[in-house]
Amino acid sequence: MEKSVKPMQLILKEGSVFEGISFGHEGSIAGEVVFNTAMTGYPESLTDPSYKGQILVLTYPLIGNYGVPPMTSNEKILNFFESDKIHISGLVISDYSYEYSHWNAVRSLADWLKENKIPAMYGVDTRAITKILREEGAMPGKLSFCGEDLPFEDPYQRNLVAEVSTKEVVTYGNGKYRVLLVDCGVKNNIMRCLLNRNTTIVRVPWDYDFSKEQYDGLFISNGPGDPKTCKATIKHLAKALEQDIPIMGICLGNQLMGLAAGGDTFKLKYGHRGHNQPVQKSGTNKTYITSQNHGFALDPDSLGEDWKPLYINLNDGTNEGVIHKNKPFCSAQFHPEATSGPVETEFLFDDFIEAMEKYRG
Amino acid sequence: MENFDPLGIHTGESIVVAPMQTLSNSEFQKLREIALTIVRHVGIQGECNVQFALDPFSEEYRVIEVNARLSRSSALASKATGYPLAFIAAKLGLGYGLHELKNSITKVTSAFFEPAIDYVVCKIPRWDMNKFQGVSKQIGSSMKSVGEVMAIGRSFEEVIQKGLRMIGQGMHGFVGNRELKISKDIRKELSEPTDMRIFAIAAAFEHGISIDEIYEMTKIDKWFLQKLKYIYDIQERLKALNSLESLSTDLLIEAKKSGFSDFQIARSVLKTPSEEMEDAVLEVREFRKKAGIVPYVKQIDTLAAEYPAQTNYLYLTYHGDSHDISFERDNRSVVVLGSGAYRIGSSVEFDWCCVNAIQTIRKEGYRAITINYNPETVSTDYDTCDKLYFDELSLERVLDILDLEAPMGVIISTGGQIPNNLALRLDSQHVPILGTSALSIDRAEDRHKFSMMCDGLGIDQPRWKELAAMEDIYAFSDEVGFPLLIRPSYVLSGAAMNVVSNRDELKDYLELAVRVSKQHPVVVTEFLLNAKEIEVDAVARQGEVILYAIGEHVEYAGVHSGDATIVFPPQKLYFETVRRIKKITRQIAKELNISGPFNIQFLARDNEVKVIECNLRASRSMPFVSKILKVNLIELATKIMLNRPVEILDKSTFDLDYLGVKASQFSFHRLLKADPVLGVEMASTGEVGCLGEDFHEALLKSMLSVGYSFPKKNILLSTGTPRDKVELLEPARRLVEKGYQLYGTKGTAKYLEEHGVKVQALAWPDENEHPNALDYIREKKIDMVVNVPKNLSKNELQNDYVIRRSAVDFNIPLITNARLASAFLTAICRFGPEDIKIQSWDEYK
Repeated sequence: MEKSVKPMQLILKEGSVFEGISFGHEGSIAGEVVFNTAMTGYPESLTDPSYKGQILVLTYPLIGNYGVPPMTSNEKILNFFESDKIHISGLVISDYSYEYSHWNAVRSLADWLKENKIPAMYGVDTRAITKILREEGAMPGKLSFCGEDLPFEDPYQRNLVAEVSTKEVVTYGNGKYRVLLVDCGVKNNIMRCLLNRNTTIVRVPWDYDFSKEQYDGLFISNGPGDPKTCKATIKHLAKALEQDIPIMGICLGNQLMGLAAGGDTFKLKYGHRGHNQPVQKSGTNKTYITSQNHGFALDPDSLGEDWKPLYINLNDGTNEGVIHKNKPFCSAQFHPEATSGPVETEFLFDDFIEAMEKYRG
Repeated sequence: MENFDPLGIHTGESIVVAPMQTLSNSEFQKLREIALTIVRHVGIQGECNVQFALDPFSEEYRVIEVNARLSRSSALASKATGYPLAFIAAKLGLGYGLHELKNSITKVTSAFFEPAIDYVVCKIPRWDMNKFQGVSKQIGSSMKSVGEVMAIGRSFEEVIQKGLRMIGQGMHGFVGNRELKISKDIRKELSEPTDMRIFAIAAAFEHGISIDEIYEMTKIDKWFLQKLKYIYDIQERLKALNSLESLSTDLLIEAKKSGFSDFQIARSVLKTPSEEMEDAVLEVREFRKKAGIVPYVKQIDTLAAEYPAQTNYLYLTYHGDSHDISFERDNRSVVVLGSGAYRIGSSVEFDWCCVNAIQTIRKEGYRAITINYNPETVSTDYDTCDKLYFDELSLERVLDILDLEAPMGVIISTGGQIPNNLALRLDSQHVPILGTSALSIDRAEDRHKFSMMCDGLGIDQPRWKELAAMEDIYAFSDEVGFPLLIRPSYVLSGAAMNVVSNRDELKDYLELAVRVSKQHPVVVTEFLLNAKEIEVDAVARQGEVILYAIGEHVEYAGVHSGDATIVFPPQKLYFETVRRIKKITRQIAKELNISGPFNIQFLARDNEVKVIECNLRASRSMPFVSKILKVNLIELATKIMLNRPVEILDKSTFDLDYLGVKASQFSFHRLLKADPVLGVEMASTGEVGCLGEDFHEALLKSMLSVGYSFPKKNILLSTGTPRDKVELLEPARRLVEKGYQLYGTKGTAKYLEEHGVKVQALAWPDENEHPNALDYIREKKIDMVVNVPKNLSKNELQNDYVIRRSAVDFNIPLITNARLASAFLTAICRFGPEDIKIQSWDEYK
């Protein structure tokens, strides 16, 4: 086992510098530095398009243990990943496991990162970095390989959703319910969850005008960045809200739903990224542990009279979903499709199917 | 939590890591979801534990066990995550919903969440198989371990090495240990695991056995084996060097991040012989600190730093570059060194002492800082103290913490032998030890120095000598006679101490079991037969005894004080004996200028009193006597160590209108093949204390509490030596009067008949005659067995062994000591179940 000795630095905009060792692509990168507290699921997280433009710090220190699964696919969808490639800009961990061990692994995390040209470093105090991000907020930072210099970058200047969205309309499956999926950076498991429920998915680009399309239900996916960047999606969605066809949104989709309904969103200090976020269904004692990955939140007070909060976060009271009082529209800020993370809120997909069934009526 | 050992090794016998290391998200979520389904189906409200087996080659699984209660692993899970399971379960029992409760560590976020941990923990079992004669050392599906440790760090290498040191059996980590007594056949050791399995893996690397081969033999996931191999490789790199100057900073950091202690580095790089190790370790420490390589303090906060937490639950790691906390260094804190893993000889009683010291420190206005690593203890509950360092009690780690904290003082006398053994080395590093000085501790611990002191004070001791040659040992045996107690410094197999009754046994033992040489001398001590053993637990202030409590063993000397049944206050001591004991206690306290707790063990025969040993620390029996006496000896001792005024109590132990009896709990049924006989090595795994207004009542209560029961009708007696037969004659007569049916092995039956006691003789197990004792035991025709060994040697007669072992295996109450049997049998003749008074502790006045 030959261990890398090439140095890499993480430089945070607020001035801190962390020295570590490069184990991914031998190059430098800038982005927004965020942390995730999940203890498992790196193949899924790294391919989650919502991380576009972000350097990901994993708080769990031992990473790479079970390697990387094969790129096999089913119905044009990779089995073990959330999209076709790694979307994070860079990876920062404490202790890299050069040797991996798992029946389903075909290569190491380092090899996969190299192939995707993603810089990565280990050997740094990830807890210290996390504490800075917690106190100062998610911030620009850069991974500098062997002392290379590069400017900081604010990914929010880019249209990240446009970067990760499908460029063309693609149809999946052949089920009873026709779902129009607006892809703002959709995770594969959202599609798997829908396809497992007797649907046909028409996946369209984020700015696609779907007002002429025929569908039983509209689905607004998760995705990266500031929801306010997605002006076209908001415009099309606002039109759909005037109709009665069921709509469901996840994560960015929740924020877009709120914006389309006339509400407002704001940036959280450091977001929610992890597998242990508790949410409560408003007005009930029902609670769920959810998987989350978002940096922005919907301001529930900004919504009109037709809407009410559906879920709230038990830790900080932020909005975790909204529902229309009369029409079959609802959305969740967390990830009922999980991967990675707990799967106990997958029933939301059943609710969506039920709404479509009722609508078809 | 994931077991390091594959299915087939009991969870209690396996090394366990948390969180799981080798499972993908999909596997983990699958098991989590099934666990939740089970919990909902069963209708759990509170805590539940689900154990799974998972196929290493697919997502196939099996549910092995569901425990709808707090389980052994609940304590571990609570300590591993910082999530207080029992506390929350109790709240749920009171009707709260999880979402209505707050996370106890952050105080602001919800208790409804799943801990996200940003470190790794490793639990390692502690076995004490060497304490038992004949026991099978193989580990498997039944639990034999007596305790456990938990190591916290930020890499597997760091925690496994920390943990192996914490176990406290002289190991320095995964590598760098003295040559192991692993059976010559490493492959056999790997495929038929014993308590030494992990070290067999190190030995396998040494012999060039590949990871794949080791995997085939052990079925331990290769991920773990690869990590272990990495530790081994670092050691090889260190061994290639020969001076600290040639050790690069990078390699040193890598070694420290991989859990290497300064000791391991000294041994690998400097090749220092054991005798000079103390200096070499300090040399490495200096070198390391000069290079700026020090561990950092991190908090356990349940959510991986996502929210701020004011937590005092801490550990140290080399995978860091800043501390999570600041250090007051204001001379207002006191560090208490804990007692480490539960093991035979040191269980919760020392933790009780530590917790009481901590509470007193806080009451007196100081901050209490605890260092300990046993997840089963109260002292490692983070809310017991002001700061908890869940970390090693090694000199290195204690100094690391003291460097940062600069406390007012350190208490080493409440945590038993582990902190006590650090006394001199801490003192030489100018650590402010509170209470009795390290020099005095050494004078009590060092056999030669202690003897010299006793001679000077005119205090009698059993004659002893430290000898390195066989001829000298024979000469000494000629001088003092048999039996003799032999304490070797190097053991080849079996238990360490032994009593030999004649020259043949002495010869056998010295030739087969121990290695006698100049480097490994043995201590030979005169053994007094039929002597009473008496303990004094006391507290002194600057050499003046402030409080003492005298406890009397029911058994004659020869049974380890940890196994003995103890009566307090004493019931059968001569006043003259007590007077002499008090005098000696005062003399020793004064001579050693004791400030704090101490314990002295005495032998008394007629009115002759001899000192066996003296410990200048809290003792195993202090919680017991504190609870009977209703004066907290540790609180008193701690106040003295903090230099606070104490009242001189005139409570004399003879004024109590009640008494307490401590009885021992044995676990022989778990230890296959072990001879359930009591001797000079401690074998019990727990104890109880009961109060009563009469000796027999209190004894009966305590014996019933450790699992004895009133025999229904049939009692088998096999009563050893003539003297023991006399001891049991009167109880036997009373049993028959009470309507019990007595059975006896041949000699015993003959003796009882000759003395007019009705008894039926049974043949010995190896006799092909009927009725046979063994058949009666197997058919459960016997309700209680009394089998007293004929002599003190370990190699008891096969017949007696078979009777004792069968009694244990067939779950028939067994007593193997004549004095205890006599007391118990008398007690059941005097009291029936309905005569036992139920009274709360505070009703005894």
